[in-house]
Amino acid sequence: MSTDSTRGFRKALFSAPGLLWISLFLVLPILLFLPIAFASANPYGLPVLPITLDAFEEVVGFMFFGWTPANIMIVIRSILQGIVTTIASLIVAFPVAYFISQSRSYLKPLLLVLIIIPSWTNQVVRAYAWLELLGPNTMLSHLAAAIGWIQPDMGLYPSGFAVFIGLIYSYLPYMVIPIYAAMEGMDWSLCEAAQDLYASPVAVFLRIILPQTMGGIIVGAILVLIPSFSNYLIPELMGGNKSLMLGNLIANQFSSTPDWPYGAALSVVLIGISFILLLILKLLTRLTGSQEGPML
Amino acid sequence: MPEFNYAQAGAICSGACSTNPVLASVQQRGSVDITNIRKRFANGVVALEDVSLKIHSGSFFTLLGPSGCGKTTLLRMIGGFETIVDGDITISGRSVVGIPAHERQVNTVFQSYALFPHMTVRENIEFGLKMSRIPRAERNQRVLGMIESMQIGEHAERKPNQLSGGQKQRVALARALINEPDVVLLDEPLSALDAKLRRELQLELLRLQKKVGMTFIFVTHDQEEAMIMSDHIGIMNHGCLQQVGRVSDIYEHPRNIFVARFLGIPNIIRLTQALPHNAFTTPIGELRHVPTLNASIQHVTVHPEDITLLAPTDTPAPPDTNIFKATIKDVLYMGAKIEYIIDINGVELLASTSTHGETRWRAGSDVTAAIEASDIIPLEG
Repeated sequence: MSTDSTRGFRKALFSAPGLLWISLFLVLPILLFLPIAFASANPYGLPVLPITLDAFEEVVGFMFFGWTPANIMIVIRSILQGIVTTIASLIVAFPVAYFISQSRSYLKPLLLVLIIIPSWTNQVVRAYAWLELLGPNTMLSHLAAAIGWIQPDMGLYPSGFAVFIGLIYSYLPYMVIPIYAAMEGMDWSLCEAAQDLYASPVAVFLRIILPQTMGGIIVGAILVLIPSFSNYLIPELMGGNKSLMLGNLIANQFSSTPDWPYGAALSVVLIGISFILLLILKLLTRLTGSQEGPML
Repeated sequence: MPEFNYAQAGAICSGACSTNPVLASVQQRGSVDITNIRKRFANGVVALEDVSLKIHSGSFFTLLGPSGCGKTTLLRMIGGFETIVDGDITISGRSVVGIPAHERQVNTVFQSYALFPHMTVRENIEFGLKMSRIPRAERNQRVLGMIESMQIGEHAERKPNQLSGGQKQRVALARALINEPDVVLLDEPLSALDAKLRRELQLELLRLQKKVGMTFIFVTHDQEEAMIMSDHIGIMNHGCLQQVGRVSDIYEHPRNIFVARFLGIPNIIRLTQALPHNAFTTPIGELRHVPTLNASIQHVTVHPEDITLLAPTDTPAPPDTNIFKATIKDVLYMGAKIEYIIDINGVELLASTSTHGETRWRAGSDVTAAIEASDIIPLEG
């Protein structure tokens, strides 16, 4: 006896918790710091009237001494870092997901748990674990020094490489799981059919497996790209001064060198870029004509 | 559609041409030789036990048997989807051991059709040609021709999930045949269809095979389907080949109990005790003039259509004919024929007659059942 109005009511009821969460933790914060972005900074960096666009000018690069490309560089570096992380985790995740999906059924839950459990650990703790592995007196550092990659007695962190490792490690599960899910839903007899029709193993991968798992790949890309380009923790702990990313820059504006309006303006830019990246990935879904990704 | 008829060429070239390498290879093209194949899976299950088989070029060969008998495994070994470790398979005269599926001149129609869901019907059909690097112009021409002859023109730009079962089957066939392989493998392609469509497509497949002349190897568990479509049948059970031969030969002379039962031949009579002069005691009474080939035969069978029903009579039996007193238990009117379940000495046998011009018996009547010696079929096992 569900009329249209009852169904509409039920829909509202089911989406209410999610909407509430998004309103509280996404929309509200944005609404809070949006005004701050348009404020001026007092000598302590706190926002005061009058309304001005100075903060946004700073974002684009018009600093105290004229225009510098420093900020643009940071933004570009962050996006590049995000893209590189996404591609690298894709390359690592694909064979892992394939291996799990081809394992005996009693092994699958175990393997999945092994992939997921690290992400239940605090990101700080995980980052410190890597710092231990990349420190000055470790096997990896000695190896890197031996091949001339770094100076002897130096560690592999702080560096861009360490950030790279840290980011991939943090977000790998989010790439493995969607791809694994896509593979589980895949009809593997299609690969046999392709082989039957003279497709070499490479052709089978490119023409059958890739298109069929594209939904999972794009979901994984979204889950990795957005957090990793805007990441604060990993570059902060493992990056050092040469690898400043957008997240660190924003954090600095609220801690070491306070300038709230500037920080808020940078945050607006960050949110904006996130949306653009999201839209691009959604467009990719449509373009590749991928089957409804399991989570999309 | 290919102009070249392999079967015809094969027929012309038989015998005298075997010394001429060119003509001999034509004769062989599409022939499949299976020699001493054994297959054991990783979990220890033995799928095939010493199977040897010769399939002639251009014939419609069916592997028939119940689930788990190994017929699909054998088909997959021919296609290249299972490794050949023990034994040999040659296709068109060349061994394919160690040759991967994508390098064999064999194409498969899968049970689930396995049409590529992210490609249109046209793209599905041209896939094999594309992988074989056939130039675009020739590809387009062949695809067009195939779409026309399969009458799927209106679906050419659709995706597989928009097609019905019968249409998908046609696309799967087109996709395989367009490559003009030596052998076409069909893995129970009709089992997912309803009865009427099945019958239609059985006829279509039969005609198609005759037209293109490629060797078709068909797998099914439906004996009726096998008999309708095939030139030759190989019946399998538990990984062993039970009997191979022409359809008519197998039906008229089944070799063992399994084959008889599987083909739906009832009336399996146990020979309990041997008597002199080719006679035996059986549960239905004394059976005389039994053509036994060796002493190990313990059962015989008779086709229902070979049991003649007559009015009860006391006249002595004509030579080479066994006569029994029987009662009609059930009458099953099937339209074209009538089946009678008759009771001889407490044992039930099935007799059938055509509806046309034959006496019709009523349940409960007493009759005489006559079985001629030449209609008694000895069965092994």
